Amino acid sequence: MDRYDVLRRLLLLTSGIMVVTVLYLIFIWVPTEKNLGVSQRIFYIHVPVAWVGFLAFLFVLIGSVGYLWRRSRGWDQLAYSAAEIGVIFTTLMLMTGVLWAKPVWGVWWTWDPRLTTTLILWLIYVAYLMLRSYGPGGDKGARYAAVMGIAGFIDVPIVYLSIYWWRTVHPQALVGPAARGELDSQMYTVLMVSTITFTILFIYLLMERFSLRKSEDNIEEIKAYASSLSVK
Amino acid sequence: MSRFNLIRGLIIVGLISIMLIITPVFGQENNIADNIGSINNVQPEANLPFLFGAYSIAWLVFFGYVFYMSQKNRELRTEVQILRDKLADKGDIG
Repeated sequence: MDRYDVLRRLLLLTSGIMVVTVLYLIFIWVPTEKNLGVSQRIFYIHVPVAWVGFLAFLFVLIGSVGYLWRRSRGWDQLAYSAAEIGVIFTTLMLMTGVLWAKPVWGVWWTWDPRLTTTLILWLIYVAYLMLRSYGPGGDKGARYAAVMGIAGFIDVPIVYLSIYWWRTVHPQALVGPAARGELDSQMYTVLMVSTITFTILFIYLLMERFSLRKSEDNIEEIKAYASSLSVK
Repeated sequence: MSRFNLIRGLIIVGLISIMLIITPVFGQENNIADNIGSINNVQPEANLPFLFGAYSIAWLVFFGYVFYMSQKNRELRTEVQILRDKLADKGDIG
């Protein structure tokens, strides 16, 4: 077992312990919000998955820039892995968002700036994954995807700042550089612990997916080499 | 199931989910502002199914994804080893 495997297992163990802890904090320790009732507890998963979604797309940006600069497969593998995980977390952000909105706003969905820009973000990275699956392969496909990964990231700050730029019914930001909302200290603690937990879980998932992508590329290389041998 | 089929399946499921979520929007008559104003009258436990739904979906997705990746990783490592062995055999013959 190499150092990478040890780190992966350690992250899995840590995130497992932290998930149990955060579930205890969410369902038992933190008080129920008096206006929104129990559905407010969705917020402790909605905000962290949103943060991780943004973080994943930042990794796509880094991987894409790295690939265009260095032309190394490693950067492309990082961008692809982060995009896949980012789409999963953004899907969860949208799903938990609608489940929070229905009891609070009375509707599953509204074309609010924050919701609409988030849906656009999700569609951009779904399109990125579709490009990887159905578009050209090899260096050409990786180059196209890198450009899309960089351009797609423009929507991330738009999503985050949309609640300040346009009129919205979405609550104010509670984390990040533009945070203005106020939160009870116990609720804030749970939110932070949950955010750290999901960030650790994200790092684990990224390492796992990165390793998987590397193996997929290795197989393609070996297959190409094997077919060249049989031609000779 | 190949990786492409799985991604295609995930995308289709995602798109259907989004469509299902958005469809009721077009038939809505509720005023969001009125609803926000009336949330003070809501019973604290009245929204338990939404809470249950949100956490169930989230954990199912996470564990499903982790399980898929670990299975796939194992399969790929085995495949790499088989291919390496085959190539080594070919090298010996040549």
